[in-house]
Amino acid sequence: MSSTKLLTLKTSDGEEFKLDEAVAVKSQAIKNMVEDDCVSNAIPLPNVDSKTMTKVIEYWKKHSEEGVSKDQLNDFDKGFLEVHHSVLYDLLLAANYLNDKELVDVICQEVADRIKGKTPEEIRKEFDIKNDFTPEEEEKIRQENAWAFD
Amino acid sequence: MAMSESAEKLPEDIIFDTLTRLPAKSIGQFRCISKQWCSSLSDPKFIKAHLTFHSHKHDEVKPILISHVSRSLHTVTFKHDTHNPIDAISRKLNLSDNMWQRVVGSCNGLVLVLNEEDDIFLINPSTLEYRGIPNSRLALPKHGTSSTYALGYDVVSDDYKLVTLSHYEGVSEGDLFCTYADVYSLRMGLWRRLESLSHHGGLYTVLGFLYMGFALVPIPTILDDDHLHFSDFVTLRGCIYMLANTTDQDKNDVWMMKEYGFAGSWTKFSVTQQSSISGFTPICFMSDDNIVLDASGKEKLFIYNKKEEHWREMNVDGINARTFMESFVSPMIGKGTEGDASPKEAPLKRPRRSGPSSDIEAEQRAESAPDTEATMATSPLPDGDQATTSEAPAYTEAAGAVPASPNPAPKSDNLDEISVLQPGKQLGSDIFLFLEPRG
Repeated sequence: MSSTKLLTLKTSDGEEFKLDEAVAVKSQAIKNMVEDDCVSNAIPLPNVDSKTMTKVIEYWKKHSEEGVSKDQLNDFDKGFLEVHHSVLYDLLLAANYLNDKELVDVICQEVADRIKGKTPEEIRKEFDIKNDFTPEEEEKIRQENAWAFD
Repeated sequence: MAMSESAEKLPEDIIFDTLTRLPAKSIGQFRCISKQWCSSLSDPKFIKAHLTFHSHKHDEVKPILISHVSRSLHTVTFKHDTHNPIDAISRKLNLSDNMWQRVVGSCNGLVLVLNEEDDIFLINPSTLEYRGIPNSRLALPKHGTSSTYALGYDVVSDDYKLVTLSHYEGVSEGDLFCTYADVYSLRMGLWRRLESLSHHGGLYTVLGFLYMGFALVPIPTILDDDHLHFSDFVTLRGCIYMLANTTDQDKNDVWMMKEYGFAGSWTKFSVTQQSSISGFTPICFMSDDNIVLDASGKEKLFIYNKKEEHWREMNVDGINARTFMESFVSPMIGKGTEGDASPKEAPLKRPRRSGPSSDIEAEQRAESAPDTEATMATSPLPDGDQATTSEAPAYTEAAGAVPASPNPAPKSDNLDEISVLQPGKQLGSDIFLFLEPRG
């Protein structure tokens, strides 16, 4: 079988995580570094903190496990994503930085599912967006999209 | 609620990705958030990405049907809740004063509907935009003729095409029987006549067709049942299903093409008959086991549970149901030269026709354009390993069995040759012409 090479990942807050290379290469970014052979020392991940990295590794490990059924994975994902939205966004940023398309997809879908039912005002609050429409302009846009509001 | 700093740091492409996953209604509402959101969510690139994402979500389709009482159009939303798993809400579309007759096509969120006067309208049931499609100058008269329609998306020209196949009724056997095929380009606002199909070997009824581009698809080859009669076909969850009536009174067979274009992948499941329901058309899946059906003669929708072999009536009234997906695709693309309607215009009972001179001009322009889709020939040639020496097709009463040829054959309206104009790789870019020998 393939060698169980261990990689060391170092997060922004100085913590080190040891991980099987086979699992870590779920991150395309890490995979590229492995292929470019620059992983002799710890791989620095200045954009990911240890709390988030722990979660990411939890996901990677579960999705690398043998003998796990699709249903079991779905259940795991469901529970995995039941976190506060700030944790979710941190995860999303990390997954994007680490370039793990599968994880990005899963989290984007969760974010989409969460904001689906929100009103425009709630979205503005959540993402700190300023409403730069005048009342007349906003009314006009609302009319044009009246079908969406019934 | 404390503001999340991370949310602000999300890169644009991630936000874009997330937003394409939202249903059309959410997008419509979110356009009011800010000027930038309005601009991003109205951008054609976004709309295209949104469509691409949702067109693969086969379980998001919703039924659209016509109320047999008021002749208004209704869309159906399923409510999945644990107490009442088959709850559905029917919503009337406030479109125009038209009395609707038939829903005849659906593609990418656009729906083709005929009103009682046989006028054609292209509607987006989500955004409520609609456009009247003028009849072709060469169209056959409404009386004494029969037409089938299809709506599809032409990937090559980024255009929506409407195809009509018409023939005169009451033609007796032995006469030359012609099917006239006309194609309307939404972007160009032009009709063009394809070469008519002349059939010397017998009379054919066109059962219908699905999408755009022309390819021929082999149907199930039934060797053991001479009395198999294919009655209808639909696409559900991206697969083609064909309905067959058998001699067995208790069951109807539904054939599903599991692998697109591959004759060997036809698999069959049976639907146990319900005593009062003589024929049905599947509309969509509610879940893996539950199929929503439009029962002919009954003006209601039904649900058939495959596992339990059990029929249930839905409290949704209506006839002639088809499905559609929610999208932003606008029927107004190209702003055709021949009588289009804007959504805010007064309701049209008849589409406006351009004057004769501009029609001629349009037809002439069409003729001089490159002949990419001028021919559509079909052939009932049986599969290679079932070739027979008889002149008539070897497939009994089943619809035309034709091998899907990867190489275009010479154009001809001779029945013995096949022309494959645009072999499709994905379901959405092919047209399947099913012919049934009559008499």
